[in-house]
Amino acid sequence: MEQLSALPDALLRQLIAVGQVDVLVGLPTLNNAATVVDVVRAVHVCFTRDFPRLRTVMINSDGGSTDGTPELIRSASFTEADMVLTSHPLRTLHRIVVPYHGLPGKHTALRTVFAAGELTQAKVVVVLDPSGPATTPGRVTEMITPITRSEVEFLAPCHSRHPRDGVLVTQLVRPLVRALYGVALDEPLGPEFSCSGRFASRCLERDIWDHEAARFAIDMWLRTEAVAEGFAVGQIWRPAPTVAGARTRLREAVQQVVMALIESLRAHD
Amino acid sequence: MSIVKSADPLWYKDAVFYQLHVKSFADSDGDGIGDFVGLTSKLDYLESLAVNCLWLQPMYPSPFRDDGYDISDYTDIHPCYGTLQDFQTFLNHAHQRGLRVIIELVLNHTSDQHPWFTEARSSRENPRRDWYVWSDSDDRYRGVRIIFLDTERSNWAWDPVSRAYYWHRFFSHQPDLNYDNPAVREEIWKVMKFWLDLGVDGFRVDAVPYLVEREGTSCENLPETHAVLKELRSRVDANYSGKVLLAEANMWPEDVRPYFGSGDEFHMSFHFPVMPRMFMALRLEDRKPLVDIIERTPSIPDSCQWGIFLRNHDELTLEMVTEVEREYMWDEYAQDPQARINLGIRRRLAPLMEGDRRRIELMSGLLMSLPGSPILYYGDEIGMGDNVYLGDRNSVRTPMQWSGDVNAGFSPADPERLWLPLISDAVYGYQAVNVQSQQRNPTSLLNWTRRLIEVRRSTSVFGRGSIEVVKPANHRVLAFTRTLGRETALVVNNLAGTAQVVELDLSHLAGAIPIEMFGGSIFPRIGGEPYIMMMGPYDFYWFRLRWL
Repeated sequence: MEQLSALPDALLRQLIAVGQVDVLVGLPTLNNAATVVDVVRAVHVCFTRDFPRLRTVMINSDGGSTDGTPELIRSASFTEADMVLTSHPLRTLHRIVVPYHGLPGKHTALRTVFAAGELTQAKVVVVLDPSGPATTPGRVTEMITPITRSEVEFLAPCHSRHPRDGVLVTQLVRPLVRALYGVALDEPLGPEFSCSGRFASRCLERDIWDHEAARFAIDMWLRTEAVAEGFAVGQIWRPAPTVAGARTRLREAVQQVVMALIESLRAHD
Repeated sequence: MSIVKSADPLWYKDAVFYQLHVKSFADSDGDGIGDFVGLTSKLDYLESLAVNCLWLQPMYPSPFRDDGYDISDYTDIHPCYGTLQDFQTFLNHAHQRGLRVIIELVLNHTSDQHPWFTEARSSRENPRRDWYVWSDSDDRYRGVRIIFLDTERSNWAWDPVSRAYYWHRFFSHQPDLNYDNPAVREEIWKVMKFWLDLGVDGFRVDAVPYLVEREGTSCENLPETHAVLKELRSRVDANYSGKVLLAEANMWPEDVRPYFGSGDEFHMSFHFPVMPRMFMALRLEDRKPLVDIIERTPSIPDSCQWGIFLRNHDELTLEMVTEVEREYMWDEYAQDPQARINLGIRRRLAPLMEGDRRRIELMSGLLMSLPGSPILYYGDEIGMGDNVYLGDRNSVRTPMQWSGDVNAGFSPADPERLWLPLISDAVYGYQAVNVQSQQRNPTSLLNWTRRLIEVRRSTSVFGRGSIEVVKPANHRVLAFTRTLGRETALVVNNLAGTAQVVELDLSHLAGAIPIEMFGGSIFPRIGGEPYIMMMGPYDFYWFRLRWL
């Protein structure tokens, strides 16, 4: 069966116009109207203030929002306060809003982002949590800089968590990852990360995208992939001031996490 | 008798200007300094280049402490360049070839060696005392910015002769004239009349914003300054026709706009900010800087025109850019600190383009197709290099390279006697880059530039047409239309060093057939769908659109 392309034609046409980039910021969304504009503004300020010379693009890969999220991203303009923070941008700031193709879920959105990164030969791919009001320009910069300097190829910020998720992470996932992969990842499940274009391309090659592990625990799979494949992994130690969303049922969460770990182990065997 | 081919008083709107230094162009008498007899001998070359108007750097008597912008006699020629008769002969020969000539007019100040200043400083009672701006203290006009911060600490200088301070916006050896004095205005008009009567076609007027001073102001762009300029313009119009006044005011276009008045002040003014943005857009491979400045440029009266350029006798000025942009430009175009001077870069076009013929052509294409009258800087048509180790801005003022012979054919003098050494490096040296060899080569930059100018001059649409920017999603492509009446030209530039595909929304031009202007090739008719073009690295196309 012919595999469904991760790059819909509408996106491909826009990427042709964008061409090569240095930094690609991916924003997977699903009904994030309440917070997404703040994230878009933070990215804009980050690009113009801290990376005026780099070629950049922000891609929103939307899972079918019904609350107007894509329209908000498309039309997000910048406040006077933003303009004070930034200088007049040197370059065209590209912002692309597209729905993703394929199975619903963050993994499909990420696959689209990674495919776009490969096509545009992005040196840095950043994925942000659209529900994160904690996303500030400085935080985006912190996620980009170590990759541009080739200090690491995968960077995982730490998040404060919902108490129930916290138990899952500290009592199960963290020890398991440490036992299986030999590294101490403080945040094996966080929704945000940045990586090199090389790592994004490597992930695209993996036969994981239609698997359950990707569907339910793509964030953890990415981290273990980076560790297992020998990519230099870094962590940002300053936790975000807000709490990531809690999972609905602990039992399901445990199942998904364990499944993802097993799939990861199989893949890295 | 002086003959000029076109009688159109708005000739400057279609003109292609060529800026040159007499002292660097051709030396006839072997003293190592170019002169008017030498320049006259090169008029055939300039005519063949298809330029319309020559802009001469200052040729007045001067102590040369500011490259001739420190004038010590406004109605004569520096002896190094010849005599007034030599100038008249040159002018007549230029006119016979249909070439107009504009000269420098430094209104704001004289040299401190000028007899006017010598008299003025001789005593407080001298009749010419009030021709300059004097003060017993240096605290008048406090807060007015100092332009040459590298060399000057104040706009006032102490004159030990008359024991008073005199005002100078530029170097301290260049005292400012006092335009509140009617006698000064009358004398300057006499200067203009002197040259206009000889037949010059206009003036490039130096440093116009600073003529008048008023307490509590920036002493720049004052209404009183505009009044002086309007008075001079009205006297020109009343006595002559077909003359042009070109203003030098290095400011944002909205600040320059008042110098056009309602068509009753300057005919032309330089558009300074567009220049660095051409270089920036090319390096960024992004049309944004250029589109920003095009959209920021206000409309001007129908009889007026912008003057645009890539390089000139000064540094590539970065005054009209942001700090971020300036740092970027310095890093990209002047990594060698020696290439930096003041707030700019003292390099020529070809080295700035790293000798890349495609980039030079693209930049020249932009110069010839953007709104305004283009001004070529001597030597750039053959891709001359520079020498950043010469002092001041002399890096870009070296002798013209006519041939591979001794002294590049510029002068019969001993090489040691040339006023500046020739460019002699392996890449841009005169043995490799010279007029003679490029004239023999049909595909040379010289012959390509000549063709470019001819195509530009084949239509008035580039000189007089409006501009509408087309904004395809591909930011590496700068596309715009120029429209004059029923004539429309479409210009598409690939600013990138890689092949690009671009989809142009030209639906408002549906039905038009694009005809490429250099070769006449016919392209598919424009329809309602996006017009797709493939472009090679640094490619540019000019199309004449025809509804047939």
